[in-house]
Amino acid sequence: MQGMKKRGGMNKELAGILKEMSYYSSLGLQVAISIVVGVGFGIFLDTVFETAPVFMFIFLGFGIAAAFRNLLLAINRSKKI
Amino acid sequence: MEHPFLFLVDFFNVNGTLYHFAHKYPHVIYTWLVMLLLVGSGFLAAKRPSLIPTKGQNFFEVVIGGLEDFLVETVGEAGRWFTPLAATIFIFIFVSNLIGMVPGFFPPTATLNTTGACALVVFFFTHYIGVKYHGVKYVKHFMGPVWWMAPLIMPIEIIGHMARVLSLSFRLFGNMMGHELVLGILFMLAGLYFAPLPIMALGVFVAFVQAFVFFLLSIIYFQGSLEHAH
Repeated sequence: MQGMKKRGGMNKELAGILKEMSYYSSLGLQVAISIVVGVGFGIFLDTVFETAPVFMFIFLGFGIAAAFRNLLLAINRSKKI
Repeated sequence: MEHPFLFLVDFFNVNGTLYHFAHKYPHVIYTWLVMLLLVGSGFLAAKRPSLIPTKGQNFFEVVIGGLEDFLVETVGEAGRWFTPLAATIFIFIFVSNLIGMVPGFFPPTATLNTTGACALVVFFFTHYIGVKYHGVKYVKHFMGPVWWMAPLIMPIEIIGHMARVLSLSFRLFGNMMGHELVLGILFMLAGLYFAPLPIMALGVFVAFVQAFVFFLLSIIYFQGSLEHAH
């Protein structure tokens, strides 16, 4: 029991570092993919309704907004800790 | 690009159709191997559970207990019941990543199909948790703070959720595939002996980190749908 406690204590520090590192390293890819998903959905809507560049630009805006919203959530999260 | 020689695929050389299948979808064959390994070792370890654990039981208790502690520490006590799913995801992905270290073996996570399947499971379970805990009010997660901003926030949130699935699956797939490619190229260029060794050592690290990232991000997503709308 004592041994487990000690090991858990050492693990906690490492686990905290790993947690932060893996969370923040995932932010960049999230930004890129949000924009790609937005543009892709916009192009899909354009081919359905045949309104060439309209929806692409609208959803490009939505994609960029989603990307920045992710960053905002990360900022709030880092404030909380 | 594929491995120059896949060990298990040649086992299926007996029968024409099965060989074709094995050659075309090696990741399925190697997923079976991972399943066999995990189910077999789990069965052996938990065959006769005792109060004073034997070696196998002890090992699994440490692994699963550690994952459960980590999860409860991150999500809180309300998330303890996610442990079966989250720990399964971690162990499955970790073992699948590690199996690629063995020469002649193909990691199932180096194809978009396996990683996409895992990411979709996480995606659906996230919304299942949301609906289970909040009922119809789960829609509020997608509507933002004020009601008139809902048409603006809704597409943003939906795009964000789609991007989660893509980023989860592409990150794992890209890392494992890149590792396989680098290993293959080094094997071709630098010969079979010591040149690929540093990459293989790095591969063990990458295998752990990617499995952990997948596990942690899915936990964070579960937590996001568990708590109240902000």
